[in-house]
Amino acid sequence: MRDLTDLRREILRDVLKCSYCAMCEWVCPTLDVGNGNRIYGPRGRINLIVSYFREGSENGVLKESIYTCLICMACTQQCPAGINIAEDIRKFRTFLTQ
Amino acid sequence: MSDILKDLVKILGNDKVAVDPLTIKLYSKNAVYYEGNALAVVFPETTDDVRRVVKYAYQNNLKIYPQGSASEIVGSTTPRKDGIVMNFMRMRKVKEVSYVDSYVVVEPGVRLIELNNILSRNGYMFPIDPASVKSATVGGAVNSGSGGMMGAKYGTMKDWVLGLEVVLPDEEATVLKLGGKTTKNREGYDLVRLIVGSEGTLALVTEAILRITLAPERVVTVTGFFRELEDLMRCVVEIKKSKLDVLIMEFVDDVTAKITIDTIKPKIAGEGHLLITSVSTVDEAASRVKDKLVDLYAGSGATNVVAAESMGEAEALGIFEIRRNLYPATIKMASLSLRDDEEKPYIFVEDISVPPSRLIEAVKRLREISEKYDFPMTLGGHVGDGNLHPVVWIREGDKDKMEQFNNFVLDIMRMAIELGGVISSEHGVGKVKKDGLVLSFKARNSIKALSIMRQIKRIFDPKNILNPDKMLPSV
Repeated sequence: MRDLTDLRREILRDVLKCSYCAMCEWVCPTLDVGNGNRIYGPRGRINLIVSYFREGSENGVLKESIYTCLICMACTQQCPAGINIAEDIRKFRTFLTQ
Repeated sequence: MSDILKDLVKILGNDKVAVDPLTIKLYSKNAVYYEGNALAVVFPETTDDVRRVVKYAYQNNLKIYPQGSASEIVGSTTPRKDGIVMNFMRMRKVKEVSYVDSYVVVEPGVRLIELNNILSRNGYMFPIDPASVKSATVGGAVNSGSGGMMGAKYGTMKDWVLGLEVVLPDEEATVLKLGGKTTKNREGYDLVRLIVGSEGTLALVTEAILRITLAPERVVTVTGFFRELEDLMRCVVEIKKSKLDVLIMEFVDDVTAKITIDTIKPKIAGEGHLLITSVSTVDEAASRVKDKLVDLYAGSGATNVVAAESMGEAEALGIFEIRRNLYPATIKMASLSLRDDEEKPYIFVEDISVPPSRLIEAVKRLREISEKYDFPMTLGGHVGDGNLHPVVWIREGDKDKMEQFNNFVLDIMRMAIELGGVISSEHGVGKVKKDGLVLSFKARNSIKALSIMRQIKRIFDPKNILNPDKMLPSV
């Protein structure tokens, strides 16, 4: 099992690069299914992870958001900041599970 | 749940109102660092939804903060705790496309890239192409008065909006249809252009009629590096004199080009200031136009000149890579300087314009200002229309640097005004540049213009419920 502190640091270092530009959203297949609600898109997911790690913010919305991602990586290709969005979400699932 | 929220659910239904704090947080940020708060987020799906919420808000003095994808960078979409976010991303229909009459009728939540994907099937385009084209919505672009790389040829949103349907923040939540489907329209005062660029302070846009145009048959693009800025500007002047139909004319300064080349490792590299020029032409003339452009570059002292006879070839050669990577390069530069893994960089993109003939002076003075405040700066812009975008970053929580940043921006705005330019070109005023508006109008002995604007705001929004505290400086 990986050290959770390392995993937390690894994810957080990457997601903190998000500037909220929304360039990742237009390709996201779950955002449309979620009726456009940001929690179902990559930008929302990344920033919910930030809130979880930095402020301990957690409720049903967080899990709904994180576990509806298809990890299709379409968003990762779009990010101008080079954030590994899909990979961070996958790692965050690991973090939550452990 | 408070009475207000219960009422909103009653008006719109459960699925169009979000009250969860994590969801609200996601709708309270913009693409820099502004973070607000709100009572709820509402997602209207029709003009009637908008009208019913506005009517309720008027009766109950509830503020409304309109929003598309919130990719703006001046704070024009961030809400406060005294109101609700009205997000338009569920109003996403392209209602009508007329190639014969060259217009489209669209709802505000349609992204510009989605609109262009539809139009390109028939060889048409909507030519407003901000860097945020993949996230920017029609409503956001209307309210921000957006521009883009093709601004030198096509101007900004104000030149492409023929008509608007809006809901006024008055007692009746009046729905107005302004403008129309024709290019020529002289029906009284131009209220359409008053609303374009009003940053959601006057009315809620629920539909837009936009002009569209044929996409160029062929686009020839040439890039090259210039040791001296004067040589680059000489090239710009020669190109402008050459009767070529310039579509894009982009610039990246030498320091930024080097940083980008070092960090991104693009396909094209060189030393000096980078100039990219795209020219609209027809298939038969592509080769001739390319040769002419290359000659003009070479004649002005350019090195490492690369040319492409089509957009596809330009992309394959990586001609736009350095210009497009201005922002990622700044993020990389910031990341290298952060002290630990949990620090966050905020990236700020400035947005002044000067007459293109004053660009050399503007670049030199920007560098002096950057040195004065010790802000490592990347610099690029639309040289064709004189719009410059200095980019700097600040470590989150660095209050001293933030205060310096405010003075840094003031100095930049003063410089733009002194050179006959403007303090905001295509990003808007929002919360960031209200002081700049005062500076600019004072410099022109026209401060009364601001009081006229405040009166206009009161006529549209008598109770000040629509996006308050944005754009207009308080008295």
